[in-house]
Amino acid sequence: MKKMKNLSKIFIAASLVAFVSCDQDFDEPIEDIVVTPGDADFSKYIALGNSLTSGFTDNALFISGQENSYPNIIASQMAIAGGGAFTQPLMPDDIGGFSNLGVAGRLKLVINPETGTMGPLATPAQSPLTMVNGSVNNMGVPGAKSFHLIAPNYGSPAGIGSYANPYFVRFASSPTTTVLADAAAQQPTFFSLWIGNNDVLSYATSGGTGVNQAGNTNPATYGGNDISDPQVVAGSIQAILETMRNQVGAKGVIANIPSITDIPFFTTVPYAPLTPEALGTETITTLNQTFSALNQVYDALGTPERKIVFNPEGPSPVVIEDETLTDMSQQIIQAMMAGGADQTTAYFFGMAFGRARQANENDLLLFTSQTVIGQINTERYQMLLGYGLPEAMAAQLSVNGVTCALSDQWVLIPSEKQAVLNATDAYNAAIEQLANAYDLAFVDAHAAMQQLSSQSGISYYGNNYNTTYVSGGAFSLDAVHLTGKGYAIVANLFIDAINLKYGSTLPHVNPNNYPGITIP
Amino acid sequence: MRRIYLLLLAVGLSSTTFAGGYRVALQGVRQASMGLTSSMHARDASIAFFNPAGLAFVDSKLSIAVGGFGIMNTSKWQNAKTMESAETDSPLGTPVYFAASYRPVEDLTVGVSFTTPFGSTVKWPEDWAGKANVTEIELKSYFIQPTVAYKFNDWFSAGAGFIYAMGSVNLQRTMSVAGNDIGLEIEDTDAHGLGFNVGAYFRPSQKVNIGLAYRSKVDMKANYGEVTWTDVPTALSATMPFSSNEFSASLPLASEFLAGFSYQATERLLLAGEVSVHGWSKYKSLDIQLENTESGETYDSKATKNFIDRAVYKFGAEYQATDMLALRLGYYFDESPSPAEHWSPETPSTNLHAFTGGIGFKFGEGFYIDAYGQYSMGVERYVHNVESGFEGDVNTNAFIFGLGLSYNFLN
Repeated sequence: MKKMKNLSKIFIAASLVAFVSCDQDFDEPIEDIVVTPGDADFSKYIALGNSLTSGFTDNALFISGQENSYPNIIASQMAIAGGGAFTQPLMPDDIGGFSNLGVAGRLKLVINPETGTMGPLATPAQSPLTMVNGSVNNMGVPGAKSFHLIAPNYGSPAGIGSYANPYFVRFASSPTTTVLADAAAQQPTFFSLWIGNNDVLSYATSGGTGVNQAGNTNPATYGGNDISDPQVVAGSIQAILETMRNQVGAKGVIANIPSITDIPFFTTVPYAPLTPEALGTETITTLNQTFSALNQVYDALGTPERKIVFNPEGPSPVVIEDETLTDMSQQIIQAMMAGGADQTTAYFFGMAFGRARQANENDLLLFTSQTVIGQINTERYQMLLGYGLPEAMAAQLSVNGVTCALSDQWVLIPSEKQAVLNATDAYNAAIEQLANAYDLAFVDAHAAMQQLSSQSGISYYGNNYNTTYVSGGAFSLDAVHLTGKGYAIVANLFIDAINLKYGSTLPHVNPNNYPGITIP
Repeated sequence: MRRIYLLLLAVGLSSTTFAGGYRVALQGVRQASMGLTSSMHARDASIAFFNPAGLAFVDSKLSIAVGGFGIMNTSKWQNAKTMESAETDSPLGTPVYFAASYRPVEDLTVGVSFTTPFGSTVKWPEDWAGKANVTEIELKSYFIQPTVAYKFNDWFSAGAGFIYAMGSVNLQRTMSVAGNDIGLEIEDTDAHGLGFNVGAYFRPSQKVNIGLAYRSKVDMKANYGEVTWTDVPTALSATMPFSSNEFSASLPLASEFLAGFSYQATERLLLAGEVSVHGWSKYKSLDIQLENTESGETYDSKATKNFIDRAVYKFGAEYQATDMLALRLGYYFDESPSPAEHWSPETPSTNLHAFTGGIGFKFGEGFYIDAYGQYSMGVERYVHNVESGFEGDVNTNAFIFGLGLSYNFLN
């Protein structure tokens, strides 16, 4: 029994020791984690790309946006693994734009005191274009297409407004140099390249007003809103990789490009935004009476799919102009006059709805179309007044998306969307193939953006990120570029790819700690 | 024609929750000091909570037991991917109990117990990574259990109790809409629920006691609780969920099946073992409905829990060193009911190795003072909540102490 008593004492004593030393540590506390570069050398990192690389956000480039650019975030993590300094061509203020070039500064979300509605509003630029002294690590140039990175004179002050880019002018080493030449001259040990987005994006954001240049391999002949030929994109990227990998000898990472169908610029405005509340039920009745004459003509002409009907119970699609449709203006005019309509009315319908149809789920309305839908088209209005219509009637027949078909610049019709998607697929096939050929880390930004735009989005510690405008948190007010949070997510993607390829152990950042959008 | 404008904002409340099952098995100091073995320790009225039948074997006509505990709980989190870490600074948890039994006629015993068997007090740093899940939570419950037990013969009794449960919840978190931090506090001091407790007690010999008991699940329902938002941007103030002012929710307090056994190994040494099975699997999800009582708009927040039924294995011993002094030891292993893919920091749960030790003094014929201490050592685990994205290594530990008094009137 004595023995048992002693055992008890020992146990109690042992327990008390445990109580006192009860601060348990983790098996591998983060304080003990050593971040290593693996096979990579991060001492001189250069980032190449376009606006996404520069830190462009809220439709402008400005200091705090640049500080949260994904290359700057990656560089801060590289610094833990022996990475060197990372300089950026910081803008002179936190507003951005160029006051001397008519380029506006950042968008801010404001409440309109008159209507109570909230929307983005551009801040006027306060600084002119300023030059940056010395070389920079972040060589992302807003607006750059793939072939621009190897285009001489792209940084020439004399070319601003035509062949040069003011953002590259700021830090180009000479007027004649190329982005690639300035990058290679810095002898980087590591580089990232994310380019090709603008080779389709400017076409898409212009509503497909440009030309699909597939088959034309001379970019000097391209307009600003054209789709670049996939061979031009692949060739430009290959030229960059040839220099950076084989001449400079840098290791690196390359990303493919997201689909436009996953970004809020093309997903925010539904094809059927005209609710009965917005139109007014009386207006809907009037509209349907007005369009019934035209719809009879469509039936008679064997094109019932063009009929225009507004739903009093639910949202109705907007009326758009589809330039791929056969122009039936003359048939409409003749049929309506044969049906007893006066010449002015017949002429109006023929002119206004010769290539019109209501939008459907295959059309993508541009983010910017919300500023015109439901508004009076002044051009149409003035013209109708000229015909002698009373003001009220002229106004009723000039409503954008309702009685005045939305023109090409506000909508991507299926053929335009398909051209963009085909080009995107072709670019991405080339990028992945080049990533393998040049033995680079590869970021599947296309897949990541699909995940972000999916129902579930991407969640970090109870904060969900998705591609919903504003509340989704990842996209900035311009609906194309990312917020600091979005760029942090991108930085993590690049870090994952780098770690996978080179065996480095760069830590992630927590996107929750980066700026989003200030909601008033 | 009216101006057409488009809804720019569709605001989502992230799918996270406010409370989890947190059983605080501290309803008797002597039982706690013997590794939580409980269903067969019929020394005093505190057995009413664990096994109603045991009241019939309390060897006095009137028994009163009262006690309290202090819980110092620490939870730690780190994420090696982002090199972030945090640690709770939770206030002292203070469960208490009171039980009384009375035997008006031979073989029939009635009693009542007042306990706080479920609860949680967790305070994470204000600005920690998981603030969208929780910054602070205080969950309390009070069980009032009138009980009756009948002794059929020298070796068998049965008993039953009716449970009326009251509770309160206060949860605070900092949500974010596109980086705009918005504070949410929900509070209800008037939650309640009902349940029951049945048991059987066997004493096949003077050296052996066996307890079997089942306590039902209690659904704690909070209705018309108070919702307070802070720092809501003007543009969102009229939008759900930020315009809500009331909430409703229901939280299952898990059922428990106990099977215990004690053996008087020597005149001075009592050994006890028990297994308890906790019906946590009823905690499938936590659904909170937020309501704007002016407009009638509602907003449902659902968080998957998918808790798992768990068994706890308990071992205890009591050594009667002198007639007056008893020394107690115990150990139990408590497996976390929360699966890693739905783990949430408002219920920082890990597997626990618990070591208990205590002393008891007996004065006169039936006055007892019991004191005890416990160290619960958590087992580190990696969690990744697939809904909220909460991720990292977590561990918990706790130091618990308690003091209890019992008085048996031997008339």
